Order: sequence, then C-alpha cells, then structure tokens
Amino acid sequence: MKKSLRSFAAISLAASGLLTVAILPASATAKAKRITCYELTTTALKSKLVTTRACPKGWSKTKPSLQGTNLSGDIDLKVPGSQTVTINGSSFDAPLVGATTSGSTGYTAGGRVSFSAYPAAGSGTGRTSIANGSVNIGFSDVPMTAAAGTLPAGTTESNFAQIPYALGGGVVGYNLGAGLDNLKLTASEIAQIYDGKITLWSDAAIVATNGGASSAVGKALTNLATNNEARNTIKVLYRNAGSGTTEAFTYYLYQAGNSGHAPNGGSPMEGSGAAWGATNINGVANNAGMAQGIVNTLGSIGYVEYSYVLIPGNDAIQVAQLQDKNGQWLKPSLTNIAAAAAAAGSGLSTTNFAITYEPGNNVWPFATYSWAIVPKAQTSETTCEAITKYLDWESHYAQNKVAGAEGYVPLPTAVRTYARALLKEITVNGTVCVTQSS
Amino acid sequence: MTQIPIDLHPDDEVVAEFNSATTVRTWYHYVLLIGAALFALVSVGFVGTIFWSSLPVWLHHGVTLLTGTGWIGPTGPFGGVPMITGTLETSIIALALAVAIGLGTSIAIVFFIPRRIRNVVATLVELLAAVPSVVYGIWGLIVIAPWMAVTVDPWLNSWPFAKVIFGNPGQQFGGSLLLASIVLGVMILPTFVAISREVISVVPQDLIEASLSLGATRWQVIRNIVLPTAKIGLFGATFLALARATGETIAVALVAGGVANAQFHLLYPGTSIAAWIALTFGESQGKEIAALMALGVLLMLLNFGFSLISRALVNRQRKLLALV
Amino acid sequence: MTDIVELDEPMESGHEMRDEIRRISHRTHARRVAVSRTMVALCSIALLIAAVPLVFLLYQLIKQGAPQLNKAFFTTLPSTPTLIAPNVTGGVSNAIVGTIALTIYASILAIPLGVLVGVYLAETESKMATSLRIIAQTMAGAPSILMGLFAFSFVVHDLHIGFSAIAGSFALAVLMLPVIVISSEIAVRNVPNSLREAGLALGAKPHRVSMRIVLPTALSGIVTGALLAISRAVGETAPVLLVIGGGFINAWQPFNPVSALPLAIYQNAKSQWPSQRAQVWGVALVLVAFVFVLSLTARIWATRKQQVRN
Repeated sequence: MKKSLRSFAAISLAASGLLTVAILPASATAKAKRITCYELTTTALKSKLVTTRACPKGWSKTKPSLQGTNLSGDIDLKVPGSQTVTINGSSFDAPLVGATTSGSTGYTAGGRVSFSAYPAAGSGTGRTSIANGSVNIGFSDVPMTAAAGTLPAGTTESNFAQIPYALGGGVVGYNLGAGLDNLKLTASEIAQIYDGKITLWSDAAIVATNGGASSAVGKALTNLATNNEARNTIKVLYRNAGSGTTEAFTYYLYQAGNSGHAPNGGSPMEGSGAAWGATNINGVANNAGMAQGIVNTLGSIGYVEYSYVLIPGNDAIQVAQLQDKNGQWLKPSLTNIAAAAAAAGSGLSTTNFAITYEPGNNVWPFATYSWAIVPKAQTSETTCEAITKYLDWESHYAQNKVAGAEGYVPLPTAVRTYARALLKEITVNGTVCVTQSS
Repeated sequence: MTQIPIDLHPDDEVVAEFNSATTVRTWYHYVLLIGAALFALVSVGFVGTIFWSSLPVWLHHGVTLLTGTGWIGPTGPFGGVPMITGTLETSIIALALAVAIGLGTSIAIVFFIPRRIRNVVATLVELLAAVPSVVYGIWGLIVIAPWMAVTVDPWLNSWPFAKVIFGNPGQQFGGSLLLASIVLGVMILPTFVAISREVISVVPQDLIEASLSLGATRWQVIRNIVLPTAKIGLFGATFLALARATGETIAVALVAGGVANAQFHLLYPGTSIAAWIALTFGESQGKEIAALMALGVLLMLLNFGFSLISRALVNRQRKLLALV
Repeated sequence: MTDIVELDEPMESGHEMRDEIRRISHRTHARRVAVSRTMVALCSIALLIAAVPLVFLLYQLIKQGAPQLNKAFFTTLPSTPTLIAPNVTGGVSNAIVGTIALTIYASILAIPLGVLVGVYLAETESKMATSLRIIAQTMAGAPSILMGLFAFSFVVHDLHIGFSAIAGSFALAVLMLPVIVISSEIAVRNVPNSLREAGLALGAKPHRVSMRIVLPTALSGIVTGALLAISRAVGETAPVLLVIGGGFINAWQPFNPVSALPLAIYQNAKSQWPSQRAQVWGVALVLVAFVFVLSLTARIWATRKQQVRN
C-alpha cells in the first residue's frame, strides 16, 4: 500500500511537473505575445514589435503599400529599362509638369526614365497629339468626351485613361501700375470687356464696382480718363490656340450668368467657339505668352493660371478680385481653390469634371482640374510602366511634395484613389503595368 | 646628216584613243552624275514638299491668306497681311540703315584704310556675319530694348508726326518693329559690305588713275567714277541684303513682339513671315501647319526673287567691267 | 559731274586741253578738297559705326557670360526653376552634346555629296550644270526656317521618324549643302589648268587626273568651305527649332529628340524666370566662341594655303 501511494505521488508529481513545464512557456507566451506594427511616415517605413494586442495609434498591423511614397521599395520607382517619355499639352499645368519631369524634383526611376522637353502647346494640341500617337502622355484641362466631340474618330472614352493630374485655379490678370491693385471685376464686366462693350478702365461700371467715384480706387480710375492716359484703353489678350484655360474661363463666365458664352455643343467647358467681340485685342500663344503679354502691355487684361503670377519675373501682373456664387469678393489662394474642389463634391469623372462657379463661401469661381491622357492599350512594357508609374508617383508623392509649392492644390485623397484605379486599367497584352514590381 | 623621217601627221588611232579617253563614261562620271542628280532631287524636294503641304490652303483659302488681317488658330481664318507688311516694313528700314552705313564702310575699307590693316578690318566686319542670329536676338532684347525705351523712344516721340509713325509711347515693352529693323540692319550690314566691297574694288585702276591725274580729289573719283561704274553691282548688293533681311527668322522672332496686327506704327509690336512661322509652328496642328507652309511659300518667292535679281545684276556688272 | 565748265574757245591740242583742265581744277581746288575731306570723314565714321555693334556685342557677351562658365555649366543638365527653387538653372551639357551630334550627322550627310556636286560643276559644261549652279546659289541664301519646314514635312511627318536628331541633321545638311557645293566648285576651279593638262599629257585618264591631282590640290579650299558651312550650321536656330524636340538629357542617338545650343539660348530668352534669362549669356558665349573658332580657322587655313601655293 505505501509503495503504491508513493508511486502514485511520484507519478502525479512528475505529471504535474511535466504539465507545469509544458504550460508555463505557453502561458508565458500567452502573456507576452508580440505583434509587428508598421508606421508609414514621409521619410521612412518604420516597424516595431509591440506586446500589446493592438497597434498604437498611427500604426497598423498590415504592412502598408509603399507605392507612391518615393521610399526605397516603392514599385513606382522600378522600371524594367530605359525610356524617354514624350509629353505635350496644356500650359495650365506646365509648371507642375516641369517640376516633376526635370530638375532635382523630377521623376527619374533611378536614372532610367527621362522626359522630352514640354512644349506646353495647349490642351487642344495635347488631345490631338495623344490621338495621333505622337506623344506618350497628353495633358489637357478638359477630358476628351464623346459629348464634346473631342474623341478621335473610331474611338470611345473607354479607349483612353484620363487621369486627374493637377488641381489649380485661373486668375484674371491686368496691368495698370501702382495704385490700382486688386481691382474688383464682376463676371459680367469681364464678359463685356471681352465682348468689346466696355473699352475703358475708367468705365462707370468698373468705377461703381470698386467703391464709386469718391473712393480712392474710383478716383484713380476716373483720373485715367481725365488725364487722357493711353493705359486707360483696355487691351484685351486672349489665347489663340486650343486652350483649356480659355475653356475654363468661358465656362466660368457662362455659369456666372453671361449666356453669350454658352458652350458650343452644350458640353461643360467646351468653349463657345465664337471669336471675342473686342476690337483692341491680341492673341497670345499659351499661359506663358499670356503672362508675358500682360507684363509687357500697360492697360492690358488677360486670364492666366494662378502659379504663373507667382513667378518672380511676372510680378507686374496685378490680379483682379472675383466674386464667388455668394457674392463675396475673393483674392485667389490655394485655400479657396481647394474649396472649389470640395464644393464640387465627390464623383470626379470624365462626365463630371467642371468645378467652376461652385456654390459655397470662399469658393474660388475659376478653378479646374487638369488631366493626363494615356491610351489604355499600350504596346511596350517599358513604356507602359514608365508612364503609369510616373503618373502614380505624381498623383501621390509629387502632389504632397511639389504641387503646393508650385501653386497648385494637392489632389484630394478620393481623387488620388480614383487616379490609381484608372491607372490599373492600363495594360500591355493584358498585364496591368502599374502593379508590376519589374 | 642623216635624214630622219618625221611623221607630222598624228596617228589616227592615237587621236581616236585620246578623244575617246575624254568622252568615255567611266564609273567616275556616273558617280558625279548621281551626285548631281541627288542634289537636284533635294532641291526640287525642298521646294516641292513645302508647296505640296500648303496646296490645300492655296486652293481653298488663298485669298484669305493674302488679304486677311487676323490669324486665329487652330482652325482659321488665317490672314497673312500682318506678316507680309511686317516683313516689308522691317526689311526696307533695315535695308535703308544697312545701305547708308554699309556704303560708307565699304568705300572706307577699299579706299581709305591702309593696305596693311585692310584685311583685319574686313575680317572684323565679316565676323559680324558669323555671329548667330539668336545671339543678335538676345542682344537686341536684353540690351538694346531697354536702352531704346529710355533714350531713343522719347526722342522719337517728340517728332511732329510721331503718333502717326510711331504710335503711343511707353505702352508696349519688350519688342517693336523699330527694334527689329535696327537689329536686322546690323545683321545684313556685313552682307552688303562684302559684296559692295568686291564690286567697288574691281573698278579698273586706270580709270581711277586717269581721274586723279586730272586733279580730281578722292571723293570726286569715288563719286564720279567708281560709284557710277559699280552702280549695277551695288544694286545687286542691295537686293542680296534685302533677300537676307526677309529671311531672318530668330532675331526678329525675339525682338519684334510677336503680335499679328496689321499696323504700321514702328514702336508697336509686329511680326514677319519667318518669325511668325517660328513662333506658331510648335503649337500648330493640321490646318494651321498647312497655312504656315503657305506662308513659307510666300517667303520663298520673296527671297528667291530678290536673290535672283541680285545675281543677275552682279553678273551684268561683271560683264560690263570685262568690256571696259 | 558738277564741275563741267564751258570752254571759251575750241582747243587745238591735247596739251592745251590738259592745261585748261588743270587751270580750272586749281580754281575749284579748295572747295573740292573740303568736300572730299568731309566725305572721307563721313565714310570713316560709317566704318566705325559698322564696327561698334560687334565690339559692343562681344563686350556684353564676355562681361555677362564669362562669369557663368565653370565646370558645372558644361557638365550638368539644365533644371527648370520652380517656385521652390527659383534660382537653380543647372548647366547646358544636353545642348552641347546635342550640337556635337547634330554637327557630326549633318556633316556626314552634306560634305561628301556637296564635294561631289562641286567637282561635277567644276568639270562639266552643260545646261544642267549651269542650272544646278544657280540653284545652289539661290538656296545658299534661302531662309533657314524653310529648311526646318522641309525637314518637318519629309523626315518628321512623311517618314514617321518624329522629332529627332536625324530630322535636325537633315535640315542642317540641306542648309550646308549649297555652301559646300559653291566653295568646292571654286576650290576645284582654282586648281591651275596646267596641272590638269600635265596629267593628261602623261597619259592619265581624266578621272585619275581628277582624283589624284586635282582633288588633293583643291583639298584646302574644300576644307575651308566645309568649315565655314559647319560654322554656319552650328549657329542656326530656326531649322532645328521645329524638328529636334528638345529634351533635358544628354541625348545624341539619331532617332531620339536632342537639344542644341542655339535652341537652349532661344528657350532661355523666352523664359519667364529671370534666372533662366540671365543664363542666356553664358550659353551664347559658348556658341559664339565655337562659331568664331571655326570661322577663323577656315580663314587662316585659306590664307595660309594661298601663301604656300604662291
């Protein structure tokens, strides 16, 4: 009996000992279970092991994709071979195109990708160049649509990926000299100037809008007439090539109540197609030409993209105040241009893209997106990857780093998501290019 | 003395062989012919391609091109009058400047400069011709334009009919037809000097010496003997300088202001045919390119016309002197 | 002639005529000398006025351009100034590489053909030769923008090659061809006929005479003409402006878009950035130096060979 008791005690001790030994490590790990958490900052992807069940705020359990971050490991920076990408199109986004395709802020994919010089020949040229295949990427402020008839013959909208590239604003610039900064101009007055119905800066309507004849500005304007100054004659500048900026400009005038500037075929931002009625009028080549025209001509008026007035050589351009839909007078700024995009709501697409004259407070009335157009069916893997990865990098990393400093509003997150989804539709022989890790 | 029979009649066989040796077409002749044919082909292609590309414009819009005053891209109408008047205005004023100064220069080089430094001076003036057009353009734009705006323009505007000839002062910066004419004048000066120098220096020396021996002063010799004798050649030089002025592209593109307005005011911006093609070609498509090619045809006609007239005059001058 | 004077009585001999003219010329001597001195002064002033622009231009080029020339200028690529970095302009290595490439390709296209045609014109007397000579002289003075239009129509458009170095070289070759034809013809014609005849007399066939005797003698003239043609082509903007495409990398391959020095100057001059406009002088100095060296080399070569021959 004692013998069996002793062996029972020994067995149970051994068993419990074994069990303890078995359980202890398990419970130890159960208590000290570690997970890897990741945090993606602008400069690096950080990872750490934490013992808590959940990751701390700002960190996540799943490893975030590095695509579009410009960090090492970003597949946007991996292209299979050397490629020169040819580009042409809108001058509205020329400063941003220049900053992302050349110089220290340009996209090079480790030296493998380079870009041809950007002629900035206008949105019309961007569309026709991509239609006839003479460039890899065409930039246009207005997407090609069947409704506007801007699609090349034999194609539909599904043949092209039209990717949001930039978000910017246009301004009405003039050159009158000191004492006449920040003139207020209603959309109706601007339309009348371009139609030739208002020909002098000292016109009663302009004086009334700027505080009346007794205000400082009003007096300065009427003095132009009394002193018979040559700069009192308004010299109108317009764009005489296929210009997306003009299309945004005319659409703003039309939406602000000037029915004479209705779009030709009824599609948004299609351009009115008619010549301007003013007689003292000159055509200029692109946004850069418009900026230089305003700088070089006293008494001139024109419309130009916002970032051009920020360039040091253009400080002679004076910017007019415009009214938003609520009647407030605004000076252009990245904040109120961003408000225009926000007020337009979500659902940006090639059928819903105009953001001029949106309702709301502090909403800049003369704003627009600009688009990069690429055919969806590509033939060369290297070209396809270079194009799609550049555009993905641009719509994510460059928008954070470069766009704001260049005078554009960084694309909203929803728009970037839309851009990336579109880029996934560009293929070579059925293979999606932008997701290749090369 | 032994009589050595000398046969003075050349062997017919030898003659035949020599003659045939000069007319036999070896591969050498064929190579030269092919080269010449290739050159002819390139030249014909040069004229033909531009003309062919512009044919649609000539057939359907030729009248507009020659008489219209507005150039509206990308679909038209394409009026070429501002470019034509701008070309004529700038070329003629430039020619006046170049001839006035160039004639005196070439006379000075041929007659008044000591022989030893004549080559150096001539080289200096001809180095002017070697400077690229674009460098003249930037010089005109960056250096001359501001200087003109400050010193020359106010003086010009004080003339009695200033507003008519020059337009309103101080309204336009960065380029004007007058500036373009001045820069152009500087550029065609060496062309005029080179030819007029040659034409003046081949006036027969005995005519000059005869005149001097009769007591004529240096100027009398030049005015009464040299210039009349060289007159036709000098006209040839003028036409060649005019041809060069019409074709000058980049300098005019940079300093004329690049505005397609058919107007004559010299202090306002304008354009010329060649400058307009250079400025608008980069952003043109289809129809507008054809219209620019049509402008190119006009330019070709102007330039070739002046060139050929010049050549005919200089050749006539040479023949005349050969007879003297 | 303003000094025609009626003679009082008919002259009887040449001596009397001469003496009478001398008497008349003595009377008007002072006035005529005064007029002559004035005109001489005016012509000399004209000469000075003609020389002033060149001196002024060179002075500006050196004063503004020389400070910009450093190693980085020649070896780095251009940067577009941005609002972030408005004063960063980079260098012009792409333009230098492009210009060298264009010059080499254009020379390959134009020089052999030009020399061939020049020899043809010098050795042939036919209607075809005369017309070709007229064509060459007319095309030598043709506006360079037309060569650009031709290259665009033919190379860029019809051959579907697109904007490329070969298109630019084609335009430059068409520009250089007439000049080389004319100068080669003159060089070959200048070879003394005695050399030709001596060769023929010794029994050499005409083509051997041309190739072994005439061409080597004319070689210096041909080289001079080629150098002058190259110096002209290097500086031309208009033909390349339309067809080479520009670009921001050191491209030189024939079917790629390339940049060029005159194009870089033109683009910088029209830029809105003051920093790019200021860079114009450095590039212009490089271009002018290049062109002058070529021109002066050609000139010195020509005069030296002339002296050797004499």
